[in-house]
Amino acid sequence: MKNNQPDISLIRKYVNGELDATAMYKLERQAENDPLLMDVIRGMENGEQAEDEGRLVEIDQLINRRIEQRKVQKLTPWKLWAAAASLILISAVTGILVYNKPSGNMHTADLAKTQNNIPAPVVGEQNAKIESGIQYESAPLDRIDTTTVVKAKVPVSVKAPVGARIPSTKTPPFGLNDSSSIAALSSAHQNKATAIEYDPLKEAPVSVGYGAVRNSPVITARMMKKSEDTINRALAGRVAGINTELNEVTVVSASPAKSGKGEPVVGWDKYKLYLEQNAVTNSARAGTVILAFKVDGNGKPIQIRIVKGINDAANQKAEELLVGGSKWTSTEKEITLKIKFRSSFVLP
Amino acid sequence: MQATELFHKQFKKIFLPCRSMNWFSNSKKSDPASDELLLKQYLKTGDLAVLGKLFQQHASMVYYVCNRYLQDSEKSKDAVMQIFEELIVKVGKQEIRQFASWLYVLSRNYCLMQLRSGKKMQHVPFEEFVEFPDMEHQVDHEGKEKQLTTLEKCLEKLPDGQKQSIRLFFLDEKCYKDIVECTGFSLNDVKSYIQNGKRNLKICMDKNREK
Repeated sequence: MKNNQPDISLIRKYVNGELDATAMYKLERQAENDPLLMDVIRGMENGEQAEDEGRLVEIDQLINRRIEQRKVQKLTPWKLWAAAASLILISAVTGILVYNKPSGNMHTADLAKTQNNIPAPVVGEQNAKIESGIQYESAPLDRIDTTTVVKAKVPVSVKAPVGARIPSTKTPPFGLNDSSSIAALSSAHQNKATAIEYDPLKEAPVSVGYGAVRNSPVITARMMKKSEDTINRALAGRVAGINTELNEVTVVSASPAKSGKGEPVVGWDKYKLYLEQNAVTNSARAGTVILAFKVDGNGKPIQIRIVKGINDAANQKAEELLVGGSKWTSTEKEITLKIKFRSSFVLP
Repeated sequence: MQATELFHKQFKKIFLPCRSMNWFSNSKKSDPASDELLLKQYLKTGDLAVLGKLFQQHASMVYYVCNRYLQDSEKSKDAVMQIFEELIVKVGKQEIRQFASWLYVLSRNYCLMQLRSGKKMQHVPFEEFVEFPDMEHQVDHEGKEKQLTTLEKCLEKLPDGQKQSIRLFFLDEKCYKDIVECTGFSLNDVKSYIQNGKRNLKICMDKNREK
């Protein structure tokens, strides 16, 4: 009920012609001097009763809704402060949890719990069969983002000759097999629980050294220094020229080129350095060995022949250096490699 | 003496509001005291529910005023809500003595602005914007006889329809319907004649007073 409802009723009666002449005149006379009343009468005359009453009901509802809306919006200050404090608290807790939680994509493997055996690598002239394994989870290779840098953290420091060939395989994902690095790694940590973290979503064969990398042009293998003495001892005298720390080795464009002339995957600079450091003969005679070979689909030198030699020992050493060195980019052409040997012979 | 009484009677009937028939006076709920109370309460607490209650008591009036100018029920409904929003903003900024009258002016101005902005300005009778002054105090006893004569002369100068309608409405106290029946004019014509006749009489009286 409205305050002015009775007057509205009266006006409605007037508009409907339900008032007698006196009442009508009374209202009209009043309206002549009251613009408000006149406007209301005329406004009522402009519309239809049923429609107008419907509109008035709607207006009532709209006003009530408007009032309710304001009530919802209106919060007392202490409630606002409480809400703000709660939000900050929740944010802080969430932040701490997220910060402390290991990444969902990272998995920890225990080297002590070996499942997959890594083939024993041949290091120098000695074979050291080391059983080790890396627990890992496989992920489809097609999920690998070729632009992603994969970081594999291995808590070990490895000294290996630059250019030393470390063949990689599909499994285990790090490609840590058949290498002096792995030998050192495994021997140094045979009985230790060593954590290896990697991202399964970005799983790819990661090679230490110059091993091939599948579907990943840029790979970073981060090796964390640990038990250096042990590794050095393991490698001492077995691998020539162990003087390069592979704390972090980056292999760029590991995928061999399918065309063009063959060249070491690691690049000529590193490969030359590798040869310079390792092309040492015990004999008193220094010289040059020229090798000719082809490269198979895996980048491995095949059909090696001596074009020009020094002696059997040097020739064999040259072959070993070639085979044990970097992979080569695929080519159908025969490659000729010239290795200069220096003599380590010291007169007694 | 008799002429003076007749003048008073005629003058009051034409120009003065019928004070005993205040539109709100016989309203059961449109109590100015109640309005004032609610208004004070709202200004004190800022509780929109209070203002909403106050506005709802006058929502019908606002709606019909809007419908008088906008002549569209849907637009009038929207206008009522907009006026409510304006009310929220303005109610604390102005001194309001009589809420209903103030709200009426607010509503009418809003509607006129709407019409103006929509370039649909229509004719609004002049007298609806001009309140006639209370002329009772301006008339001294010496001039009353003269003014009565002037009124009679001015009335005679009005066009026939206005003159007839004014006489029937103010002097004979006939309602519009009766005037329609007596004169054969349409209802709208009668209303128009009365409005225009009042205006012309006032102009005529003012001119004669200046002379």
